[in-house]
Amino acid sequence: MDGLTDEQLLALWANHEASHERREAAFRELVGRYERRVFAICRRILRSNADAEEAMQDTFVRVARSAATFRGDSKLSTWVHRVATSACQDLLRKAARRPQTPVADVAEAAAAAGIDQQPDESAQTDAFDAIQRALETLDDVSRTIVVLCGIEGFEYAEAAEVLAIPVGTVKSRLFRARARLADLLADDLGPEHLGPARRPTS
Amino acid sequence: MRRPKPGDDDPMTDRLDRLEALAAYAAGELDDAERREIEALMASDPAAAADLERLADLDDRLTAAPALELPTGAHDRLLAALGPIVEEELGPEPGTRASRVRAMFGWLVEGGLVPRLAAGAAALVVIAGVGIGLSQIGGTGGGLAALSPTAGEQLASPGVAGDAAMDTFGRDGGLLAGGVYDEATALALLDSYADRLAAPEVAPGTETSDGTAAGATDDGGAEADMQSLFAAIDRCASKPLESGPGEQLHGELATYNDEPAIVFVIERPDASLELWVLEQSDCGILLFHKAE
Repeated sequence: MDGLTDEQLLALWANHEASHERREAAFRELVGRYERRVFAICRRILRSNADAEEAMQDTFVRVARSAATFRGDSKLSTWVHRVATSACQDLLRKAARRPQTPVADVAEAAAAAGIDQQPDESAQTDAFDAIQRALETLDDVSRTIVVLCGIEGFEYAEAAEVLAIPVGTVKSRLFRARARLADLLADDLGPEHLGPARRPTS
Repeated sequence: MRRPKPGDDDPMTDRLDRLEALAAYAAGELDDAERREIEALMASDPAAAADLERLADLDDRLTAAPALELPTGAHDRLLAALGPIVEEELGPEPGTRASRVRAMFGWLVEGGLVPRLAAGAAALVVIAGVGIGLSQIGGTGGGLAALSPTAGEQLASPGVAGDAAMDTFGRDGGLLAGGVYDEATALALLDSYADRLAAPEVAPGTETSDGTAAGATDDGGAEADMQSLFAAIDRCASKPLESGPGEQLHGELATYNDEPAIVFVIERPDASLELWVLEQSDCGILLFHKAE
């Protein structure tokens, strides 16, 4: 399966003439190629590993079920990321409708349910904590745009395709989001707090 | 793109507008007039230059965000969650390659042989022998069961299979006397057919009629067997058969000398053609006149 492109793998998975073994192997290979990035995107957009895992699972369920609808109009990676961000938005909408549990009760409820409340293994490093907290103050779409363009390196056009919004909207919301983040983090950014990449080396 | 103009609103909005304009400037997304305006602002206001530094710092930190790895066990949990979905999408496990043969069978009838026949061909290869008459056998199920040759037909395709088929016809009065099967029997036949394809018993060194070596028995050979079957059927289907108005085509599963076979029947108003796909290497074509 190594030599097959992402698109060929999806086509093989959707090919009912192919053997079960080959189809399943193709799908597993696709999952293997995308799971880390899908998880990373979902984790940045959502607020916990558990939510990110749920969104990741939902993403691949949708990919498995709707493979035949992929027409090749966009790159497969764009399509998978669109499915992933859509799964995240759905989860956020669901969470917004859910009754809120007071923070103080969470630990008690978790203890009662036997859930380990250890910090997420992939929790941000301290250096990034402030940025992650600031990100969480943004609206969902703006946060997703920052995650895609600012962190994951998507081009404006690809982010627009993933989110099904105009490129101009991606740009304007990204610049506004950067403005808000820079304002929120004003005390931590700038010449006196240069990040590693901009810190003078001499 | 229209940029907000700093200075028209409350201080907070004004500050965000200015940062937004600076972010667009840093991204190279301003037109000439807007760019000159920002550059003038930075020249006159050191705070604007500091904000630009902050934005650049922010971009650097976002780009350098620590990689997020999958939590321990997440991969296994994902596969476990996907397992039922994958099973559901794959459909029932065929157990053997019968499902592939089944799929092939439908393809032949619906997409392969029928269009070829409908297109028509010049010569009729099938020869009616002397003394042909038809008797009705069984009378149920239509298709092959409704037709039976009597002794004396000749097989147009002079193959080994054809001669043997004639023997069978002549001996019991109808190869398909019991040849229309219920679903379970038909599927069992397909399984049997697929199993034979998986392990063809062809003597080493022999060749199929198209000259390709046969008898592969490993997994790669199984795939080659399928290709060989396709080639055999293609040879049969490409024989020049006369077509005419009012033809109907059926596909049937049958046995021939207790071996599984696939039969295509082209029924015409005055006669019926049978096209037999026997094993992987040959096919026979028979023509029967319908009984008056």
